[in-house]
Amino acid sequence: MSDISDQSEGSERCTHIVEALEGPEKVALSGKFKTASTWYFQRTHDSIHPSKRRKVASPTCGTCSVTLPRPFVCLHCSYSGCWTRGHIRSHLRTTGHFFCADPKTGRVFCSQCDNFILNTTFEGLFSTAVLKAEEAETRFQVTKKTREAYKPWTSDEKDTTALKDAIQIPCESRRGLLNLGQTCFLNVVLQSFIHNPLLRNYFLSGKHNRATCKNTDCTCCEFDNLFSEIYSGDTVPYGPISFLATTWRASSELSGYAQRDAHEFFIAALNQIHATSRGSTNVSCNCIIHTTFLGQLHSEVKCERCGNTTSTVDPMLDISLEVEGDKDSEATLGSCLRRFTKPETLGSKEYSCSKCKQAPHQVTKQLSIRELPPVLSVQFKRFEHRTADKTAAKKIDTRVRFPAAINMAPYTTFVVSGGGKGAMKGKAKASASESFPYPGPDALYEYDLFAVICHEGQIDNGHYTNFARFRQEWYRFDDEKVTPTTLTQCLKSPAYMCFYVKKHLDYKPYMTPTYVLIRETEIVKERQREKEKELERMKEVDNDILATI
Amino acid sequence: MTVSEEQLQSLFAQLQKRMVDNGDWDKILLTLTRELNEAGWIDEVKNQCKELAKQSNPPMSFQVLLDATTPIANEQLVLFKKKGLIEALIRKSLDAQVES
Repeated sequence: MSDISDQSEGSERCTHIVEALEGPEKVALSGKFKTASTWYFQRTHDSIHPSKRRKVASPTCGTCSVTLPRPFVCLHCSYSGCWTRGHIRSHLRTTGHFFCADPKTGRVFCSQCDNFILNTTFEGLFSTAVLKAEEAETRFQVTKKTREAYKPWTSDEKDTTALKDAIQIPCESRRGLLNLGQTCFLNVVLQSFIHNPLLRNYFLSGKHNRATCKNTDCTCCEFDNLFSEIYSGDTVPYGPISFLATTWRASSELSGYAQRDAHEFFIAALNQIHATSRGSTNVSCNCIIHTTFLGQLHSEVKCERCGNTTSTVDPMLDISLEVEGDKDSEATLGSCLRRFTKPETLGSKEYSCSKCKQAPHQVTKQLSIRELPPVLSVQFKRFEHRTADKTAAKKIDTRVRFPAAINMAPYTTFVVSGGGKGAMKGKAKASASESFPYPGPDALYEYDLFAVICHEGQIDNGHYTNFARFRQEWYRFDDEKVTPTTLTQCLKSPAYMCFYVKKHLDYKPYMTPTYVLIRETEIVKERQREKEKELERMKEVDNDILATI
Repeated sequence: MTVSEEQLQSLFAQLQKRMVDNGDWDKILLTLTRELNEAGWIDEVKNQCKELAKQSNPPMSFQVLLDATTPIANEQLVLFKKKGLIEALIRKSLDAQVES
């Protein structure tokens, strides 16, 4: 999800690097850069997730000999130096070397521009080098397989011809949605789908074509239509009328003009998209919803008397969190997740241990995330129904502080259950290593916030708005009104739901979807039947001819 | 016994080298980063940097931006409540070094 600068906007202003990459130094510069980036990733990874007795080499500044945990490396020679004391910049000035790099972020500094510069080539080199190193360091917990290597898309002849006459339009998703009568709950959820990169890519690449779909009241067709409208470049607010009508027909409990719970609609929409997706199944479904939102929740119940544990794994499309702070400090997403994965004592009436078969006993239950989905949706449980009477429900307004980026490792089953047994061989001497028992790499657990749904007011008399990120800029959506805003404003808002997307996706090996295979075999069978019919007809004609003779 | 500035710097350099070599430096730094992130410090500082940089045309030089935001970042640290936790981790690492 790196933000590649658009060259046509003129934001790549450094001509020195462009010249250097066209000249004879290209190989040396890129080679040094790649080596430094890979080396830095490996060194940090080995420090934090020690699995082998690999000596962690630490470079020192060529000028002042201080150890450099964050070295800046010259791309022309073997010098590394510190930034804060100005040594790397002096080196560049005195030697006439032009470029140095920060291997942690892959950023390149040009001494002639006297600034860090943007260059797509180096950004690509950095991403590829680090990804390759991460792939080599990824360990599966259940098999000895290695991670599927990422293969960048290359166009073949069919693609090139198809794209030859295609018109490129800017990717603009900043379009308001009209309120059709208390439908702000619908609009905010739709905006969270519109800005979801995986859903966006699926529908914009025509994976569900409403022109050829044979379903009636098809939610996928409505989404296909919605995405086309939003990304058309038209900025006049759009009224999702047919979408609303289809939703009412598909889920009658959502019909009518009363205010609804956005989360309820979110789940209903996910189910509707799944149901109308080509090739969706009830078990191990590969539809866009399940590949995007589905994770696994691990629940472990332990009998305190005999230590017997039973665990179950359940699918989850999102996480619903109780809103609670850590004792005296404020509520944060981290504190809510810690509470979620804390061991909870169950009443002895609710559980009977199959092993020790004695009563009464104390039983603890602990939840953790066994599998993290590519898009993590978090709901804060703000609407408390204390009694069966819905009118007595109360809203919990406690603000929760949530970050723009989060690492979910501490809430995964591996970490919560105290590290895998025997999964970590040859652990290096543990000083602060207790905090990072998982095998990593950290990139697998890192998420970026892209949308937030906010609710203001009371349960029956409130209003939904949302924030969403377009590339690196944040916007506030209030039905038809779209305004530019800042990350700070978004993080201060009264959040009800937050949506995070993985920074780096991991891939399975490509397999043709079952419904495509079935379709192909059907075509072959159909042709076979036609041939046989033809033969039959010919036989009959021959018989008729013979009969007349 | 008064310790000279030079001796202090040399001692710091030795201790830092050991911490980097045994991996403690990176681990404590990662813990610090996570705590600062949870407290909202990282997002606040990033936002201030971005908004400051946006106002300048032609683009600001990195050093100018760094000089402008360092005091703001330090100011925001006042709100960081988990300082004690980090100091305890550092102390633990240094004690282990002194013992060996």
